[in-house]
Amino acid sequence: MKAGRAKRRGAGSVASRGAALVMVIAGAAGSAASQPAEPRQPASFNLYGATGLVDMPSARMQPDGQLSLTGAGFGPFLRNTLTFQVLPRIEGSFRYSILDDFFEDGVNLYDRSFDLKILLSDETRSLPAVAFGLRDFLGTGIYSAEYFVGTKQFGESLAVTAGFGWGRLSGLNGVRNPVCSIRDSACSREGFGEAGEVQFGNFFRGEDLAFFGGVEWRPRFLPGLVVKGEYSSDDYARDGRFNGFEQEIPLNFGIEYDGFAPVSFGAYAMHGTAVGLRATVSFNPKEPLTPPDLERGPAPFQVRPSLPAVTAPEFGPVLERIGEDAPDGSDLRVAEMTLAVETQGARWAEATVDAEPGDACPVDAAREIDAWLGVVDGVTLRSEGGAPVCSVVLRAEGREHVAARSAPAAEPDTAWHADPETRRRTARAAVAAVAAEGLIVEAWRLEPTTFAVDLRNPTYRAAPQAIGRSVAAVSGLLPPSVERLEVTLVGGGVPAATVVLRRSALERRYARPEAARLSWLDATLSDAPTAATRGMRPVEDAYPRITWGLNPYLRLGLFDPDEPLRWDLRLRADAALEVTPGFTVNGRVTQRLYGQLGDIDRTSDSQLPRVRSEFRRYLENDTPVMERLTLDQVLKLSPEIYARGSVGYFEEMFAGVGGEVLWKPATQDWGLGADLNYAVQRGFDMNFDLRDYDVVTGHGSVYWDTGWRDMELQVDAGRYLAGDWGGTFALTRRFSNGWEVGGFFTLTDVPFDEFGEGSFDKGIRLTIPLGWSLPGAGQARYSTVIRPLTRDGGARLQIDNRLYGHVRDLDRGGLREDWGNFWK
Amino acid sequence: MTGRASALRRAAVFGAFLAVAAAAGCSSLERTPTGAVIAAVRGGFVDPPPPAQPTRAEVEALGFATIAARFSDEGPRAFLVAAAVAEDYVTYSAADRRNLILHGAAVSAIRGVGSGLVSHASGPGPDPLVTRMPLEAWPSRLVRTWRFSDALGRETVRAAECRPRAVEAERVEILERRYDLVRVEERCTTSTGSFVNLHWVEPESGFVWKTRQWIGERTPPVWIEIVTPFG
Repeated sequence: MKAGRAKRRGAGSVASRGAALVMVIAGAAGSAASQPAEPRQPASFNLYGATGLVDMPSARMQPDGQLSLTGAGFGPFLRNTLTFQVLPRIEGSFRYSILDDFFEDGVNLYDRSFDLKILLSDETRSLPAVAFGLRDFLGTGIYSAEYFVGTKQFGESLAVTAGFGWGRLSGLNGVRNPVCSIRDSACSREGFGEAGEVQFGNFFRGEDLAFFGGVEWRPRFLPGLVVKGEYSSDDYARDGRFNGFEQEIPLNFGIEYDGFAPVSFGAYAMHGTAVGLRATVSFNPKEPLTPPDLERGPAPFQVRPSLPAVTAPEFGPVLERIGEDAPDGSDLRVAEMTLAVETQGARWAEATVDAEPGDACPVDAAREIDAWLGVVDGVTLRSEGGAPVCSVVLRAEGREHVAARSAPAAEPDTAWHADPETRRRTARAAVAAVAAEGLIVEAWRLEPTTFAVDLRNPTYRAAPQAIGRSVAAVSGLLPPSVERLEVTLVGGGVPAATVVLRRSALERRYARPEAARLSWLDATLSDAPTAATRGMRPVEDAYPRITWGLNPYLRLGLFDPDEPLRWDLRLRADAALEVTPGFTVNGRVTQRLYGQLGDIDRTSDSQLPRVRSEFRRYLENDTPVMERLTLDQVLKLSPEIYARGSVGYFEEMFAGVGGEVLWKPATQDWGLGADLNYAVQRGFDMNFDLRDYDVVTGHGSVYWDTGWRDMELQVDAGRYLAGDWGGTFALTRRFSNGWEVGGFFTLTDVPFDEFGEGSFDKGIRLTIPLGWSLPGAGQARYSTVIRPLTRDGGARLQIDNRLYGHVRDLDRGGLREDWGNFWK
Repeated sequence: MTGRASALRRAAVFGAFLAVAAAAGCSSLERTPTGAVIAAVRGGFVDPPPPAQPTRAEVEALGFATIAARFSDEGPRAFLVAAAVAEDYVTYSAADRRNLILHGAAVSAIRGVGSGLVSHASGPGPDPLVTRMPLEAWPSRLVRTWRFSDALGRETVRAAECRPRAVEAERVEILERRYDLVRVEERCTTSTGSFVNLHWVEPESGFVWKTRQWIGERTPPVWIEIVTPFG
C-alpha cells in the first residue's frame, strides 16, 4: 500500500517549515482589521466536506466556530469529513476517505487527510472574496492540491466562483505552471506516498496549473434550495485507474437543500458518469440547540433593609434629576469644568459656579454641563472657594456613585456574633441553603462582618454561576452586618482562588443593566491559601465522602482498513473515596456489553517499544476490567503552587507512581508545570498483572490562555512512554460555554520512518458540553480524541486528574470569561 | 453486505447510539446526564398536568404580593409570589424557581424560561410602566433597551422605539375580580422587525394590572396579571 522511498527527515526540518506555515496562517488570520463580512448567502459544502461548490472549493467561509460533519460519496469514492471554522478566516478539515479498488489487486485505499483554507480578503461591493487553500497537505497526498479561489455574489441569489490550482486541481486543460517556468525543480511534485508528513516540497509544484469555476444559485422562490454547476479541473485519472471510474465530462451539477438546519444534503451528477450524495450536519457552539437559561432559576437575591446613610460631604446636598431633558439655557456662569472617570463606571463632572453653599441648587447648570460634556451621570457644583454647593444626579449610574460613597449613619448591629448558638445556627442555615443549590461547602467562617465559604462545584459548568447561586442563597440568611462575602473555589480537592464580594455592591447591581459586568468590577480575586491558614472551619461529617457513577458509553475504533468504524457499547463503573480534602482513592471498572472492538486482528509492526500499538489486546477482554485504581493526593505547597502524587493503576495500559507540580497564580493567564512518573506496562487482561516493560517518563509544560479568540496553548516537552524525547504542541479553541475543538502534534527524536505510518503523532480533540443541548446537564460533557493512527512514538501517560484541569477555569481570565453567568 | 454498506449501516447505528451514549448513566451526584436526557425525553412525550388554580381568597390569605404569569399565549398560568425586593425591583418566584423581576410593571429579567433577559432600561424621560402616571400623561414615544445573556454568557443588546397608544376601554377579570381598564397597544420597532406590547391600564392612576411584553426573539411574550399588588 505504501509508495515512495523511506525518509529520515528530522523533526527540526519539519518544525522550521511548520513554523513558516504557522506564520503565514497567523499573518492571514491577523491581517484583517475587522471581522470578515458574513456572506449574504449561507455558505454551502462540497463533496470534500469543505465549503465549496460540488467538488471544487470556493472562497466562502462558514460562520465562526462552526463544526460540520459530512458524509459524501459518488461512484467508488466515499468521504467523511470533519470541518471546523477555526477562526473567521481559517477553515480546517480532517477527512477519512475510502477509494474502492484503488490498487491493481482490488485493494481499497483508506486515506486520512487534512485541509486548510485561509480567507485572504473579504468580498466587497466590487471585488470578490479571495482565499488560499491547501488540500491534503498532511496525508498520503492522494488529494493534494494548492489553490487560489475567488467568489463574488451578484444580486441576492447568484454567486460565481473561479480559481486555479496545482496538484489534483491541475489535471485537466492545464497551462504551464509559471513557477515551473522559473525553476525546473518546481516542475515535478511527489505523488501519492507515505502518509503523515506535510508535503512542503509539493506546494505550487508541477508542470501545470489549471482553472476551475462554477456558479451557485439560490432561487428566491424556495429558500434553502441551492443549484450548483461547476467546471472541474480534476481528471480523477489516478483514482479511477483500476475501479472503472471514468470522467466523461469535466462538469458537475448539483441540487442541495439546507432548509432543515442543522442538516443539509445534496444530490449531484458527477462527471457525466456517476451520481453523488452528500449529507452534512453542522453545529455551532454559539448557537445552542436549546435556549439558554431553561434550568431551575437561582434563589431570589434578598436585599437588606436600607440603613440610614450619610452622604459623603464632598457632594454637598444631593438632588436627583434623572430622565429630565436639558434646559434651554442657564444664566449661571460656569467658570471651570472637569470630568472624573470613576473606576465604578460612573462619569462624574465637577464644575465651579458663581454660587455659594446654602444657595438654591443651580440644577439647570448641571443639565447644561451634561449637554456640553456629552452625557455625564452627575455633576458636583462648587463655589469658587471649592466648597460644594450641591450635587445633581442625572442618571442611575450617578445615583450608585453617590451611594457607593455614602457611609451608614450608624454601625450595623454585630451583637448577634457574641452568641455562639446564633453563630452556629446562622452558619448551618447558610451552608444548607448553599447545598440546596447543588453546591458543596467544605469549610466556612462567620465573623461579624464577613462570611466565607470554601465551595466545591459539582453542578454548574461556569464557576461564577456557582458563586452567584451561593451568594443569592445566603443573601436572606446572613445578618445585616455581614458585608464581606468570600467564596473560595475548590478544585481537585484544594482551595484554588478566592473571590471577595461586597454585599452592598451586589445589592446596588441586582437587576440593573450590566449587572454582571459591574459586579465583576466590584469583585477582587486572589490565590487561596490552605483552609487552615484562613481560619476556616470544616463542615462536620464532610469526609470521608464517596461518589460513584454507573454509565454506559460508546467507545469507537476508527480508521482500521479492515473495518473503518468499530464500536463497543460498554458499561463503566466509577467510584471515588475522598478520605480527606485532596486525598482520594479512585477506581474504574468497565465491561463490554456489545461491540466489535475485540475483533481487531491487526498486529503491531512498531519498531519502538509497543506502549500503545498493542491496544487491540487490551480490547479483547470480555470480562470486567479494571481501568483505574489509584491513590491520589493533591495539595497546595503555597497559594500559587499545586502538587499531586499518585500511585497505582493510572490507566488501562500503565501502572506506576508519579507526581506533578503546577505553578499557576489565579491572577495570571499562564502557568508552568512538571510531572515525573515511573510507569510499568500492565498485563493485557487488565487485572493486577504487570508486564516486563517499565520507563521513567516526565514532561515540563507551559500553559497559556492567550485571551485571543478563546485560544489556549499548551506545550509539553520531555520523555514519552517509548523512551523517546520530544515535545507536544496543542492549540485548542475553548468557548466559554465548554465547547473545545483543538489539534495537537508531537515531534520526538524518533525518525519518521521508524515511527511508521503517519510519521508522527497527531490528532484532534473535541469536547461537547451536554448543557449546550440538554438543559440541566450541568458539567456533563462528551470528550474524544481523534487520532488518524495509534502508534508508539510520542505516547504519554493518560492521567485523569492532572492539576491544570482543576484550576484552568478558576483564574482571572476564566472567571471573567464566565462572569456573565453570575446572576443566573 | 459490502464493506461500504456495512460501514454505512454502522454509521447509522452509531448516530443513534451517540445521542445517548455520552449522556447515560446514574450517579451519586444530583445532576446526571441520564437524568437530563430522561427528563428531556419525558418532557417531549408527556404533557404535564395542568397546575391547580388557587382562589382569590387563598391568594390573599398568603399575605404576599402575587402575580399570575403565562409564558406563552396558550400556556398554563403560573402564580409567582414576591420573594425579594431591591429598591423598586421586585423578584417574583414560582415553586419551580422560574423567577421574574418586575421594575414597576416592566419585565426587567427572567430566569428559567429560556429567554435570557437580564435587564431592561428605557428613556428618555420617565417610563409609565416604571413610574406610575395617569394614562393621559403617558409619553407617545419611548426607547426601550433589553439586555440578553447568550449561550456564551455574553450580553447582547436589543433596542426598540416604542409608541404606546390607548385603544379602547375593556373590562378585565383577574382571578375573580373585575377591573375597568384601558387597553394600550405599544408598537415597538427594532432594526430587524416589530412587535406589539399590550398593557391594560387603570386610566386615573396609570396602574398596569395586566400586561403582555416581549422578552426576546426566541421566546413567546410573557403575560402578567397583577393578582395582589406589591406595596
